[in-house]
Order: sequence, then structure tokens, then C-alpha cells
Amino acid sequence: MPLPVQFLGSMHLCLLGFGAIILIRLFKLYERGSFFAIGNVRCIKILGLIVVGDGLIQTALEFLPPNKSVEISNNLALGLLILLIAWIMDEGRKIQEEQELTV
Amino acid sequence: MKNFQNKAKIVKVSKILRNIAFAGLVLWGIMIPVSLAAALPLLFVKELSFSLTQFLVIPMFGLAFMTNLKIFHFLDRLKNGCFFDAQTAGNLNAAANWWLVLCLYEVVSYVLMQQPWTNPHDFSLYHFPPDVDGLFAALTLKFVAWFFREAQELQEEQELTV
Repeated sequence: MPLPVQFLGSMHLCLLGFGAIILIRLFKLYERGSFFAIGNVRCIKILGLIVVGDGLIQTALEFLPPNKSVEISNNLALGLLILLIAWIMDEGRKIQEEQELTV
Repeated sequence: MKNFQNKAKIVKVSKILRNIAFAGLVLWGIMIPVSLAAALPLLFVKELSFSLTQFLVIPMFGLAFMTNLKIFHFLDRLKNGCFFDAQTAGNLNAAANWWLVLCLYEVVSYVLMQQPWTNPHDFSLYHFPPDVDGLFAALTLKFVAWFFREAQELQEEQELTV
């Protein structure tokens, strides 16, 4: 197996592992009952970046031999969607903070 | 200032994702009549051999179209700056529901698509790929829809307070 493919493959695995750790951390935060907290937003943002990175790696792997095909990974759009959700959650956090200050 | 930047970012990315969703909508919109046109002659022309697979994929395309349509509506609402209202949360929830139905239908259709085997050793799960990714994505969407509803209630309460 060529060295770039091995490198990208191991990067892909590392990102998967890191993503799983972040996902566990996010669900632990939800378990504690904090839905619109800064920690949650940060976790979702990191997850989005991981998925975008993974999408880029998958696209690069498609370009390399033996595939040599031009196929853009779905994960790029999925990562953008997760980042979008993180920004919207951030808006929700601001509303919650404002409400807590009002009451 | 930062708040405005965040909203502008949301609107900009929603616009990009909405265009991708629209492309998907066009794709499914073409696939449905094409698959119907390919399947219907099998019922009327006796020379052609009947294939259940060609009929089973039509509802699958229909369900995928509905899921895509709801995601498109959701992104359209976000693009218009409506983040936490009943319609936005409703569209996301509906998309998750359609996606869950699609996952269930996929399982049923893959079971029906299996070729009958005479020898027990011939049985293989090669043509029965359970779509775990799709199921996970649908459940995640449902989960996010609950947060949207929660945020919507928060916003409504805040509006009443002010």
C-alpha cells in the first residue's frame, strides 16, 4: 500500500477515535442536564470540524491510486450541517443566558 | 457585533446547504418518474420478465424525496433568519420522521429483494446491507429537533417576559 494512502488512512482512524471521544463527552454533558451550555457548543463545533476533516481525507483518498476517481465525500456537507447546528445552538445558549438574567 | 456575525454565518452556510438540498431534490424528482417509466412496462408487456426490485425502489425514492424536501424547507427557514420558531422545528422533526420511515422501508425492501435459495449455504447478507449510517443520522436529526423545540419555548418565554 502506498505511503500517502497509509498516512491518510491512519489520519482517518485517528479522527474517528477523536470524534467518538468528543461524542461521549457531549452525551455526558447532556446527561448532566446542560443543553445550551458553552461546552456543548464547543463539542458540536469540534465534531463538525472532525467530520469536515474526514470528508477532505476521504476525498483525497478517492483521488489517489488505485481509485483515481473524482468523488467528493458527503461528509463535507454533513460537517457543514453540524457546524451550522453548533452556531444555532450558540444562539440558543445566548437566549437562555438572557432569560436567566431577565428572571 | 459578534452576535450579528454568528447570524450572518448561519445564513450564509444555510444558503450553501440549501442549494445542495435543492440539487438532491431535483435528482430525486428525476429518479421517481424514470424508475416508474422503467417499471410500468413490466406489468403490461408480456415479453419482459417481472422484477420486484424495480417496483420496490420507487417508494424508496419517494421517501428520500420527502426527507430531502423537509430538509430543504428547514434550511430555507434558516436562510430567512427564522432559527427558533415552530415551523423550523417542525420541518426538522418531519425530516427525521421521514428518514426513519425510509430506514424501516429499506430494511423491509432488502428482505423482499432477497433471491430464494435452495441450498442453506447460499444464504448471504451481501444484498442486505442494514443502513446503520442512515438510521444514526435520522435519530440525530430527531434529537436536534427536540433541542430546537426547547430553544423555541425559551424564545417564546423570553418574548412574553420582555
